[in-house]
Amino acid sequence: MKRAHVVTPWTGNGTAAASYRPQLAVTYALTSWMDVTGQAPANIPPSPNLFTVEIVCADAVLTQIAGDVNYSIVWSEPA
Amino acid sequence: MILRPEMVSDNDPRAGGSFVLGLVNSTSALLLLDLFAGSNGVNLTAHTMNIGPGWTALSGGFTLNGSGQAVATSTGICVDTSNVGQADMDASVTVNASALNSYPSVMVRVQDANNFFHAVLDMDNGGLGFFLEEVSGGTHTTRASFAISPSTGTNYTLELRAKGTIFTGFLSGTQEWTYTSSDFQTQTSSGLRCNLGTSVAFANFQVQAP
Repeated sequence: MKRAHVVTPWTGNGTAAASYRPQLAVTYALTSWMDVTGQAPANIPPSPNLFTVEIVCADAVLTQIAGDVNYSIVWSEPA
Repeated sequence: MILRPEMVSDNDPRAGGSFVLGLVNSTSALLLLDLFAGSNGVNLTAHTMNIGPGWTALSGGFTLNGSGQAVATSTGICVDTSNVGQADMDASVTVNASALNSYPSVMVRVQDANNFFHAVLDMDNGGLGFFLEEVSGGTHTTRASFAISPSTGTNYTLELRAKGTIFTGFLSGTQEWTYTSSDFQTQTSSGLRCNLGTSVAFANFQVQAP
């Protein structure tokens, strides 16, 4: 397992059935994630549509994220 | 009371020279408690809590099932709240589902049915896990999540602690996430919420001072 901070867009529309949530968590199987940016609800989705989450995931998943141009890894635990 | 395991070292006079696993009550005052004792079908709003001022239904509602549990009255959104008397609170409830078709949660800092934080367990398809959702002006934003696929017939204790600007979520006693926010900082109500299903039983609701 690796811990990392990753920049991701929001997805969803804010309804009960499609809450705003990180696109990263929809695309990849994460063990856990936490919003560490804390944008005000009134500003979601922001412009540009980006925020940072702290994630815990399998090493292989982090490798996949590193190769995905839709996301930027701010830092991650070393190998 | 929420009991947490505490390791006591052999240097601690409580240990008597050996390692022991003890239980300590890590928090102080019990502000609300409802063991849901009462007859089947009694609405929570007509029922006396063990500790606390009683329940207010904000949407739908809950009734007792006669087995020390409360259940949602409909498959719509059901919300019952109670005033804790202070904004810092550590709320917990144990849920057990007979079918996977709903989203039970424990709420803190409740302003009204459209403004609050809650810790939710996805007991529908499991894809959302155990998560923190902020509902502000009726807009839903997921702030944190821990992956889990719940099972029927299993007790899960949902706990959400709001202390200052820090929100911490525990699932069955294990801390899974935190989030920082100053939203709803002055709200003093806690509560129960369930969406989509009536097959989840809520037990042992309690709120302590964190």
